[in-house]
Amino acid sequence: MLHLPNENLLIQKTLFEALEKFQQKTPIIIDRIVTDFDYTQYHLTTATLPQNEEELDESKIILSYRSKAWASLLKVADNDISKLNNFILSKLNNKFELVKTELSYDFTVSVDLNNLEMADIAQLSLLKIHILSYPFIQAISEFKNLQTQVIQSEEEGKILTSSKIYHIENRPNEEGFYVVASSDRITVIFNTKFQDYNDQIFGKVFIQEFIDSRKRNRAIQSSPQVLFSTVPPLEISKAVVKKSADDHFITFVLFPRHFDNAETEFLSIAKILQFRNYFHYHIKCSKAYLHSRMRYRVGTFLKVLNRAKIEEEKDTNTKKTFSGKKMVSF
Amino acid sequence: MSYLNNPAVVMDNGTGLTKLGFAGNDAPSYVFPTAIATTTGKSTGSSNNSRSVDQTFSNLSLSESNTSKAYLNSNSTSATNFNSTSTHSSAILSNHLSGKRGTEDLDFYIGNEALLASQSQQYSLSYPIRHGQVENWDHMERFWENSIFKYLRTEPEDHCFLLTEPPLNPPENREQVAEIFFETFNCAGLYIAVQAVLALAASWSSPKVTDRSLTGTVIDSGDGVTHVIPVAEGYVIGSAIKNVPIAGRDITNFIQQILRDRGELDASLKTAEAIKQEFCYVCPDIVKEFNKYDRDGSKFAQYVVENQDKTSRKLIDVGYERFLAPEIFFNPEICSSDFLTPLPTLVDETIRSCPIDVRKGLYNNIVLSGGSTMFKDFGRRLQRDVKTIVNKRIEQSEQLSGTKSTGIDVQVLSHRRQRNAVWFGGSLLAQTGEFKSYCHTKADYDEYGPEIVRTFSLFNVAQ
Repeated sequence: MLHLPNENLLIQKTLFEALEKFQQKTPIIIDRIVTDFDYTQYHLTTATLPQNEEELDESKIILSYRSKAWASLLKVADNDISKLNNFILSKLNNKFELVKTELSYDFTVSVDLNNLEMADIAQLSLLKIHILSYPFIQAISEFKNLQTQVIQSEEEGKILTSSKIYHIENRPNEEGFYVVASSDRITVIFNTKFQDYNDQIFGKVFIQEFIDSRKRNRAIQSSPQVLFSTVPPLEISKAVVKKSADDHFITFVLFPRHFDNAETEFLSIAKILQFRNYFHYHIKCSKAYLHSRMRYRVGTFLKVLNRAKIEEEKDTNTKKTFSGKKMVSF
Repeated sequence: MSYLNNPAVVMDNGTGLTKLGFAGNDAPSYVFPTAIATTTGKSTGSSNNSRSVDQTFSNLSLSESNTSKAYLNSNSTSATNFNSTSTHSSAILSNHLSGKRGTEDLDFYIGNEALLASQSQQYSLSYPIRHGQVENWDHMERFWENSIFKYLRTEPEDHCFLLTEPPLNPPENREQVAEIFFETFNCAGLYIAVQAVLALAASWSSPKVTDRSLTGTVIDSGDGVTHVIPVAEGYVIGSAIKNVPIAGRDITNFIQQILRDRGELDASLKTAEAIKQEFCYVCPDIVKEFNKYDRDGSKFAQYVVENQDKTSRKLIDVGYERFLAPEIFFNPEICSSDFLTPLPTLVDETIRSCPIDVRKGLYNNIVLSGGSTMFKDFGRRLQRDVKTIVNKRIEQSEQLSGTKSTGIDVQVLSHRRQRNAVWFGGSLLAQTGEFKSYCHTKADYDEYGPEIVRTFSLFNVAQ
């Protein structure tokens, strides 16, 4: 498969099964852990009755979410958890009820199977993207503010850049991404690191090709510009606290056309959020491809070697007498 | 930090079905055929191509829901898959790959999607695992790649992996697996467990188990073959393993044959499979059971076959095959002419070819695993039959020696997790806190090379 789907298939499948069984009047009791990329984990459980914790309420499912990125998301939301929760609920079309956050999870909603539709399941399976889109939405609104400021100031070619740099750390070792809004663009900068030396080499080749492909292929001129450097780009240089040798900064420049309506906005955000996973997935695919070529080579070499095997020489030295006795020559 | 406790990934790649999931869950998240559909390489003509692209465009609005349905249906219980909803096939095909040269190696599908894709001419289906062992490593590597990234959505660097292997798997295969998992995927940790041992561990979930021992006889019956595997303290006694060429597929074929002979309206494999899963059970005595059926008509059942849009209904009578089908384990002569040893006899033979000091433990803990052991009363019948054989022998030796024997306790364990026992056992072991310390890590691999996976320390059994 070339592309990774945006939605989490397992959440989709689990909720669909639960819904189907519930509608057939044979509800199932679930207690499942589901993961997603970047230290994201979900927990789906059948709810308990509010008055009695022992009894199960089979018409409701509790969906909990946790991820490494939550702490930095909170920082973006000025440590106001209700702001963030309200944002996520609105992204889910306010169809789900926020309940008491499960222990060791960050965000918990209750899903009522009585009025759950396929479209809602699709939204829930995109929960991770919805949650992580928070800094992007913030940046877009800031972009609009800055844009009106520029228009009002009536100064030709003036570019304002927001002083706010949204930094989301979604992986250990300061890996994550930065979002910065300007009056004419939004810049997203990924900081990715490679645990493995081979991966690093593959990654560099891959990014180089990635940057060049935009220049070479006319059909994708409308895609965001991509830049790559090993030192922090100027936009975020003051936000990068800890610098290390294996930093790789990949910059995407989003122009207004990438977020001018709700649909493209969502697609851009979803694709950008998947970038790191996609990137690492393809490094792995390339390695798998190389391995299969290597196996093929070994196979053909073995064939050559087998052909070159010297056949056992026939004994020409031993002759037989008429009676069948051997005459051995020394 | 709690976020670092990512659950381990448990993968059980069998000949027929692959079970994928996370440790700590009670059932695998995905169960789908171990199949991969790859491009045949050559395009099927330009006119054909453009048509499929057109189709995709016209389906674009629908495709979202259709594709999702194709995955949603993916939880099947049988290796012969019938969920292939052909109506959706046009939606998932066509990747628009014609414009992207050099990506042919990424143009493939696995699992149920592979079955769907193989209906078109562009893809050819293959099963990378044969007889429990990986045959085609290229395909297997891509199968794993897709199952990790697309289905489980995990970054292999962040998770430990528990994989399974059949008994008597050559260590070279293990090394291959390690090479793929550490070099391609850079997985954080890897543990390869023998399926039979995991099946034993899964039986601990049964309330009947009092001591968690890793000694026992595992009867693993899947779709293709049935194994009887003795395990002593976590180690498989390889020389004593016996195979029965009778398993799920033979039972289905047997039912299908009966349906055909009787001239039922619908005698497809699908119907036979459904009848097997819904109606079959093991009876204590065939003759009595026949009589019971003849006296009491309520024992006969009816199975309703509906076509896809539920317009026509066919009624299929279900009769003696309810108890006859599973009976082929106990009296193989009713279905096969070349294999005639009943399962209980084989179990007894297997245990008798093991070292004498473990035999008692092996008789004491006979564990069932796999879908074909799910018939009602299968365990009870097996226990009774093995007990009869053993008691007869004891009696004989008592007569000959004139001394009194202390007797042997035969116990067959059946439990609720039987169907995916191997996976469940893996999940059970991988959720323990110590699991990580038993895994070989990437650092170990880099230091010592692939031969480290030749040995794995056994899980600490004592609780």
